[in-house]
Amino acid sequence: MVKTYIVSGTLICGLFIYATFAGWNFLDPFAEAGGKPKGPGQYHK
Amino acid sequence: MAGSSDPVDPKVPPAKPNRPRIKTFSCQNCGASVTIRNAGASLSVACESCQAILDVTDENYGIISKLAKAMKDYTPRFTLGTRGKLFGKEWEISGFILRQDVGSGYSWEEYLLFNPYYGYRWLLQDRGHWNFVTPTKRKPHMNSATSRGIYYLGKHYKLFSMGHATVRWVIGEFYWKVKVNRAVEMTDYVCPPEMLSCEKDESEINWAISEYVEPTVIEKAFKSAYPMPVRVGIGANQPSPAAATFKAIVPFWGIFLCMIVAIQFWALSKSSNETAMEKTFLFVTNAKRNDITSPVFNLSQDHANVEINVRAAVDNSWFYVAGELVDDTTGTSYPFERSIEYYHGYEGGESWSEGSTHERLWFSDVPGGKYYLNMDTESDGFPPPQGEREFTITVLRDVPYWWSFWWCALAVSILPVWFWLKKRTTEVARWSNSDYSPYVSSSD
Amino acid sequence: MLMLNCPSCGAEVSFRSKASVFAVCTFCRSSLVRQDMNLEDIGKMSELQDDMTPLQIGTTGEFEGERFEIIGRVKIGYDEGFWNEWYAMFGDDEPWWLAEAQGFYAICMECKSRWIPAREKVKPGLTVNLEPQGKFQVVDMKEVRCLFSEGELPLYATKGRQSLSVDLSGDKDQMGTIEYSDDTIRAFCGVYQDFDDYKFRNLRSIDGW
Repeated sequence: MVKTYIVSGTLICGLFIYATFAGWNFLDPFAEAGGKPKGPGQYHK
Repeated sequence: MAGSSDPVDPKVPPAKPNRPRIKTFSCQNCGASVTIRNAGASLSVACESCQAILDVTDENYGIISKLAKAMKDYTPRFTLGTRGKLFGKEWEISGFILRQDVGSGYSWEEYLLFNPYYGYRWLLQDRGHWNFVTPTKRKPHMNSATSRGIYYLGKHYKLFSMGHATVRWVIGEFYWKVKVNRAVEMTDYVCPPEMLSCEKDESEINWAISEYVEPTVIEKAFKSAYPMPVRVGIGANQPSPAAATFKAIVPFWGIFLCMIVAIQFWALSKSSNETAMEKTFLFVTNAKRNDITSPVFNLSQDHANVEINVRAAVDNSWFYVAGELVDDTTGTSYPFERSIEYYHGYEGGESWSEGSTHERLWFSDVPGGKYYLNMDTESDGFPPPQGEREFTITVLRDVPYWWSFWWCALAVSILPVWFWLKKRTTEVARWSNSDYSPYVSSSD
Repeated sequence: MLMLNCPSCGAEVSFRSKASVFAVCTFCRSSLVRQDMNLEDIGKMSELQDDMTPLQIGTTGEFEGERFEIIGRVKIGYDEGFWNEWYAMFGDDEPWWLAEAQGFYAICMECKSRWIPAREKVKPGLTVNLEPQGKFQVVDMKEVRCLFSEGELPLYATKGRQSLSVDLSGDKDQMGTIEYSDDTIRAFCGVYQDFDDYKFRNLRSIDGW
């Protein structure tokens, strides 16, 4: 189990380093999907 | 050889017997035949038929004690006299006691192990969990005792249980004169994989240190006619494999997080965050306008992200843009759409607001080169006078970005957190058998 | 080493320690009391029928880097059991004792302390000061008697000799004993050590082990 973690953790770090160099952006879960306007009353009430 | 008169060699003393005598006699209580294997070491023996405890040091083998209510036959897992090798030493099963906690009625097995060089040990079996017990003369530090634990040889043992134990059934030979009808006060403290136990009766206090043993180890050491009992729950001092894995993983978790943080700081510092283009365009209120095109601009570097900011002065109205970032040379396009909406008002004594006058979006890994924007706009809710209004587009190149970092930090933390949770559920399960669980509030 | 002749059978009886005043003839089992060069026969020592101790006269062991040899034994009995006291001789003549019971082996020597409590004052839990060895607590008290002796001993270990034996426990592995008998009061302190750490040689052979 420990070996699995070390290997996967190193891969994730490696992926992050590569992504940083390549200018990748991983998905922002709070980003607006974009789309037609929804009008008021979406966020409160 | 009666009557022989061999000359005694004055230099050689007569030979001493070194064979432990096997003695057989009749039980004073029931008349059954009783055998003692280790007469030189044993002080009492239990009759196989009636469980009366007989005095080995007495030439008449008087009765020391007997059970007021003898339980019906019980079959110990190992036959007396069975030998096995545990932790590098050979042991013989000398005796067996089935003990019971007075308060809960709960019982467990105790096998007495004997070795003439190393003395006595015990094997305890309780709901399938095995412990190898060594009596010790060392006393823990009672001065530093708290209500919940004590210190012994530098380790802290937590109070696990307190109770009174009696004997329900007994067979074999023992190194003390067993008094079967007396209850002894028992206290257990745990520090997995060890347990420190204290037994107190009117005349003495005895301490012993136990070590948790996997059933497979016992199975390999001692031959039994019965399969090892299946383990129920978590043993009081059973080591938690999740805890061990968690402990081994944590340093690497730390290293990975540090690395990711360091890389993110480096990424933040090296991002050029340059404005590739900033321009104000015109849209028509409460109407559509198509094919608004930006001048061509340059995106430097070859693999970097792009951020597009859209700003419009909306006020209880909305502005919508759908467009594409187009590579002037290849024609590759990156479509996008955004609504800019901002509403506010005063209702029931409170002001409220919703939305924003600007929005952002990102593109990942856009190749360098010459680009332009092509946009269609729509809007509504604008009060008169109708006409053209401004909106601003800013295109930024190579901006600092946080979400890659958060996703990687999360990915690297999945296993550690999972093991931490598993470790915690193991501990809760362990302590569910104790009256002193730190996971249950005592003020109920 | 002193060699004297047994007054009962004529065999040689050796006294390796200057402190030994009592011995049991290995041939005829007579209990012999020594006064300078004279040996007096005071009776026969009984035979020991059942014995599972791994030690014997002639066993050697190690403690704190020095080797000792066992030259005598007293088997002490009480209501609830017994133990063996082995007389251990290091190079010099200070008598050491190796107390053996149920796989526990404690090695100790006489401790001449000014603060040994009077017999009437002793009770379990009492703190006893045996400086410079340290402070000890009384664990229990037992009326004991000699069951058997062999080899040479620094006291008159006649069968049936009675005394009060007080067990003490100290820090870590420390232990102590105070013996109250008709003629003397003696305190001993020492430590428990694991069987393997003694590196015993010439152990008694036990059939089947």
